[in-house]
Amino acid sequence: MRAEKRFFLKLLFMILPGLCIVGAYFLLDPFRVLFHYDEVKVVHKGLSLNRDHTSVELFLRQKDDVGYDSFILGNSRTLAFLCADWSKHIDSNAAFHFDASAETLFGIAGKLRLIDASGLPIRNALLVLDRTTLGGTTNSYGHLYIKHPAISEESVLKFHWSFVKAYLTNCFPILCRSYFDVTPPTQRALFDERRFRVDPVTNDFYMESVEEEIRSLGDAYYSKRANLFPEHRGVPQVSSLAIGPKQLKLLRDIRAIFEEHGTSCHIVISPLYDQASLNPRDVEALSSIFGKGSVHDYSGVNEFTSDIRNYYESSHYKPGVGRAIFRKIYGASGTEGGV
Amino acid sequence: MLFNSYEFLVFFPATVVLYFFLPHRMRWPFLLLGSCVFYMSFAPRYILLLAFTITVNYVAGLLIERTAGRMRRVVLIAAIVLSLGNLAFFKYYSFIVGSLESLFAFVQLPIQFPSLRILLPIGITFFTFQALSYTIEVYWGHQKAERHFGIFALFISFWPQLVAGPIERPQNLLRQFYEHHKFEPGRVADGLKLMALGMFKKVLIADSLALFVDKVYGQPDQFGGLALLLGTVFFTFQIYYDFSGYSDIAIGAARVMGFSLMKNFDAPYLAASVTEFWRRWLISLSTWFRDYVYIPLGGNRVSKWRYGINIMVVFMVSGLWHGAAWKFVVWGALHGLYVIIEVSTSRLRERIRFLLRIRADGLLYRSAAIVTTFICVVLALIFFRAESAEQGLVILQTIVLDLPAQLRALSSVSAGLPLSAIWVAGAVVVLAVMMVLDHIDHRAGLFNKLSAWPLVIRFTCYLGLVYLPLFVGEFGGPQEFIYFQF
Repeated sequence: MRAEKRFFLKLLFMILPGLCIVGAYFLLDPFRVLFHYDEVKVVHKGLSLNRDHTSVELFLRQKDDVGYDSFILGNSRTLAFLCADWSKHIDSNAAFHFDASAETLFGIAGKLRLIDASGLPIRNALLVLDRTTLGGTTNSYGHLYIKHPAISEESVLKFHWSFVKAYLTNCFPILCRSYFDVTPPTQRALFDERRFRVDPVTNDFYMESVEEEIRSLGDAYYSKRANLFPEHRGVPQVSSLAIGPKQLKLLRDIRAIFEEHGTSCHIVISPLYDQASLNPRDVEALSSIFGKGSVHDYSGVNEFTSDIRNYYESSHYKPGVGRAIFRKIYGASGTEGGV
Repeated sequence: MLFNSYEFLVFFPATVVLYFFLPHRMRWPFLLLGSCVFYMSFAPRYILLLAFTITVNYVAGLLIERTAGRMRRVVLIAAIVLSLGNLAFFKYYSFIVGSLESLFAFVQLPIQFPSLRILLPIGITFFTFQALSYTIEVYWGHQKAERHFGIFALFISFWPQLVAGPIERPQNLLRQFYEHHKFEPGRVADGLKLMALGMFKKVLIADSLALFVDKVYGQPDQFGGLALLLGTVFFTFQIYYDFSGYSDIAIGAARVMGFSLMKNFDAPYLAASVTEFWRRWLISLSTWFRDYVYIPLGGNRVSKWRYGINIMVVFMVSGLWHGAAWKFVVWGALHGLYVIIEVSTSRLRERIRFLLRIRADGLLYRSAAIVTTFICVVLALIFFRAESAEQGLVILQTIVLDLPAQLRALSSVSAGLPLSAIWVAGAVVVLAVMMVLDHIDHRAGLFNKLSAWPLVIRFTCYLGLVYLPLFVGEFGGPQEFIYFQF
């Protein structure tokens, strides 16, 4: 018995640091998924948070008080479309920015199902799509992209496991940052030092530090950040087909929800900096499902994508673009779109 | 699931705890279930291939024992054809078809074969060879046929060594499934230490070296001779620590549960000849080829020419085992050539040593022999790592032609490296230390030596082994074990 006792004592000694590391995860909650928080963030102590999770949590917490009835859905490129701007064109003051990082059709359909199940009306919907959003028909992987269990209807354990793994893989820099406010030099890429602001009601988010930098540098920002803007190829590009049978099913499920709610829906195909046009067959598929007047394709070469000043970097365009697109879609008085 | 994954950190302790709590009669079904879960975590449908190999060789073993004369041989051949045919289809279909199409195109025959997208089932070469080892040993009368299907299935699918070896012999492993293994703290501790060492080698050493190697071999035309040479040397160590790390984890995990698996590596880069290298590298595979291919071909008890052919056949087939590409055949052929040169010049070298009064076991001679052997191994690995045999030739040419000029301009040499000179220097120091530890392990057992050190130092080392991969390495990251593709 003595030998076994000694063995387990030594084993306990060996795993004690590991237990402390795991324990620290529950104390720190570095990705803010274990507990509820009043303040909504995009980044916490340099660590990017799961935007899908923060959006869903904010929605669930406030839906009854605010009574949301209009929703902007899509990936992080929806940052260009602010509820504050949208509200000027629609008859609603209860819009919600229901986005997620690297959002997919799977995520959008899941969010609409959640809204529908919550009993809220969906009077207006703005779907901001691109080829990558259209491609995804299953839950995403990785702690930044995995869908909230309320959206995916998958295991809560699987959801939290992805965060535990992400923490354990990077526990050393996370612990250094959390307890000593020190970032190990070789791990700087792990942390996002930009400053963001999130509206606590609409969930609109603003790239504050980047906006400040652009305001102070003006056009010099673009020469300083030239590495963020690849050269345009100069030859028109057309994306490969994104919509297949699985996507069609999800799109029809989305349309069914809109029909049930009598939703005024508009779909914006993002004006991405790469100037690649969405495949015409994808545009056609969207138009056939949602109606031609509801689909607004701003991909490819156009006034937006030709001006570098419309972008923060090659992936995200500015709210000014969003406002211009709202004016085009809704005109001066706003136009009705629908399914 | 990979050994270097968090899922394994949950699977392993759960399996071990349950294993020791179960009564002996329930342990084999539990291990078999665990092995199925382990294998299906990669690609569930390929459990059917494993089941096919198990069934074929189980039945063959019984039939061989029950029949006599020519029928035994027929059953053996059928088992070999079915097992290797299974392997050939999944691993070599594209290679065979591609080579045939190239040949037909060369002789102006427009023959095309259907192209199939076949996903290589993980571990297929390992469990196929282990199954064949059993059937052949039964045929030779060295092993009784196993009547218990469940135990036999467990012998083939035993999860610690299922997907990347060691390739076990039935005489060693099969009987162990009938033995009752008690919880012995000393043995369990040894197993855990070995697993920690394996994890350290894989996550910290091999995966770190991959950062340099992948950059250089990813775009070899962008780099000069020195970067390519360093990339090749680092790959030499990467593949060693990757595979020996996996083997350590497999052997350690088995040892925790009371099973003894064969040693798979024995400080191969300290070998003083290529022949000795192959007695220390991937021992379970090299002995498999020796016993089931080389010796049945006649071994060295044949004419010189036939001996040379036997050597080349064994090494080229061994190369092909590693991968369905001509570059692996080239790699194998180079090793075959090395062995032939060694054997044919052994008397000449002995004579020269005698004349110069140099002892073969003298430090200077042995060091020179070790360095020479290492260089031979490194040169051959160029082809192993390159995208193709042609690219391997280009890389070799670049190293030979470019290196002298680069070394003359040493001050600017770091500019052509994918990672900083400090990183390279650090890697060289770490590898030198690891080689010393390898030597200690070969001579006296690393943990045996460590056990003589004070408690504080021992536990600091153990804590480092366990937590450095977690803190500094890419544990749970995307780097699979290199030999999984075989």
